[in-house]
Amino acid sequence: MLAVLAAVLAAVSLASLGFGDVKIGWREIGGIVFGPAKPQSVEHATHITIVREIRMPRILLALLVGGALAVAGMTMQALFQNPLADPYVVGVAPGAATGATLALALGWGTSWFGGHALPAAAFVGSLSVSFLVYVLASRFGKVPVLHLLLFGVAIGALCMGITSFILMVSPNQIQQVYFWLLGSFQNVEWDRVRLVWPYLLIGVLVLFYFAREMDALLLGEEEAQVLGIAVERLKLILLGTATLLAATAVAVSGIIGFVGLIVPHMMRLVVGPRHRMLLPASLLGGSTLLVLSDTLARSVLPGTEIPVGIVTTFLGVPFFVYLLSRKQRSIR
Amino acid sequence: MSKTPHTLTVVAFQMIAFAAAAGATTYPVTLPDALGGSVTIARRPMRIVSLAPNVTEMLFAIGAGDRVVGVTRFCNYPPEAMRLPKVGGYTDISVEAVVALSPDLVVVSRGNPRATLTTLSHRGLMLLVAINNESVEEIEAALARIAKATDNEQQAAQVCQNMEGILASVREAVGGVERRRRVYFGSLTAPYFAAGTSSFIGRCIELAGGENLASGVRGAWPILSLERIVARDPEVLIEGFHATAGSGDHRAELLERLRASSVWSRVAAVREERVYTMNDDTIHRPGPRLAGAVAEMARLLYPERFTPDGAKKPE
Repeated sequence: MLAVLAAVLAAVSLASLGFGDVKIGWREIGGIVFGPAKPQSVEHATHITIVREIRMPRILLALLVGGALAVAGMTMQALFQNPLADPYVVGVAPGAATGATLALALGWGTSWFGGHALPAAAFVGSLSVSFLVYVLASRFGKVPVLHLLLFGVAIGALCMGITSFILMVSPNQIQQVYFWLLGSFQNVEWDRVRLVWPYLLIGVLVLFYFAREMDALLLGEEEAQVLGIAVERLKLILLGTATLLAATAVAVSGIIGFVGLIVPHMMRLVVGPRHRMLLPASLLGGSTLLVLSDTLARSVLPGTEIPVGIVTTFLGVPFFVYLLSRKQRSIR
Repeated sequence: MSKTPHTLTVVAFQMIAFAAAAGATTYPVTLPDALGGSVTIARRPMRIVSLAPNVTEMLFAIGAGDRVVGVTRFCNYPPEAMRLPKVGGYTDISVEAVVALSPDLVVVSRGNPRATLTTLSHRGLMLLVAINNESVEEIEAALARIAKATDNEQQAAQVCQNMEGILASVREAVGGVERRRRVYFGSLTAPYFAAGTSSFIGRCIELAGGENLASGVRGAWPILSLERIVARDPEVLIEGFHATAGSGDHRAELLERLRASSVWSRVAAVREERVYTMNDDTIHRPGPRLAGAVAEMARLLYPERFTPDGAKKPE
């Protein structure tokens, strides 16, 4: 099954190279990707730039972010033993929004940190809010997940209030932050891919290492304790790693909903609940969904782009409904 | 420049109209109001409230500034306007604040929320709309209408004449270009919102003699794909949202950032260092300073056709 998913991802990613606003023939794309980068004409040089500097990093980042979000969502669902948990459950998204808005309102130029001011501020915002939620929820060395969930919702609401307030009183046209938060891969260049792939890879590997412990968590925290697992330590590791994955993803591409929530459920329907299988399946499924969504986002309407978060819901929800209703039928 | 003859005709007619009407307004005067009806102004308004920055600029330009008693918090030009009481923002007008100023004329803009305007009219306030301001012609018509209400018609005619003078000199300077330069006006950070041809700024680009990179894409402010921008290879880039980008020597920062990008660095405008910023307030605000903004844009597009002080280079 994993081999099939991997093949689908590879096919989607390669096919994605051929789609975009500027029409480039398949043969030419093949030459650009696999051949020498020697431009034969002005037009060819432009096409080389488009394929190598715009489409390739973009596809790669969508692949990385999609996988990371799905794995982070899967982890949160195991940790909270709640099917509605998503990667942003402890305040990652509102934290990112507040961080980015604050940075813009304070007049940090978009040129700061070599053009990475917004991502940096969003990242710091996500992690600080998540840390605050964790501290608020912890009592006597224990962190009940219900408290995490509730504090996450409460602090998240506060952050959204702060964000709206800043947007309202700010004299500058920082409404740009809204569009940034909608999620997009439009600004992706190789430097951004190089910046984030190590974090995402390490995060996913750490979570994979704890796959069996996540299986045990599904039985309940007490049962996991009985099985000899240091539950509180495990929760801290899982929460920290998944949050780091989500914060990194949000920082480079804005808030892309749905992938982290639904892909793990889809994959449970396909490969079952064991995390050894579920994690790689979610990774591949999330990547495929996001690469496919971004391909459509940039090629459906000529000349313009659709925020990718819109496309993920259009693509993913019908497929999820189909999987779920087929499952219902087989149970009956 | 296919629109030129038409524009000139309209202008000529307007000038004749102004010349004919350029006396004092005789009150009462009836004009279309903001809610699709009409408003009858009984006597010369002495307490005017403006609900939009471009309206404030128009009122001051035609010499009614000393009778303006309230503005929005975005009204920052002319500087005198900043000292006036604020009645809220552009879309979040405080009805109380407007009523408290007991105005005898409220001049509103298309972007003000209709619900607020309805509430104001229920309070018995005279609402005058500054009609659409999507083109130079419409701005001039708006000036004429406001002037009719405030009894400043002569000054308004003068303001329009000045605008026409500036636009005529721009036309003269850029009229003979053998090939229009391709210009991108919009955000230089993603998402790449660009001024579409149907937008107000799109028309300014046309007046300044540029070829809009967003032509052929639907929408007033479409998000352009980076692919299209690279493929069309703009010769001039103008950052359209300067206020978002922080302060200081923004242009140098911007150029440095674009040069560091593996995509933008290949664009002609970046290679040739033709990357600029424009004052947000003048270019985004359909008001009396617009002709000046068009001239500024023309100078950015064709610097070789202007002398440093802005006049047309003698040939």
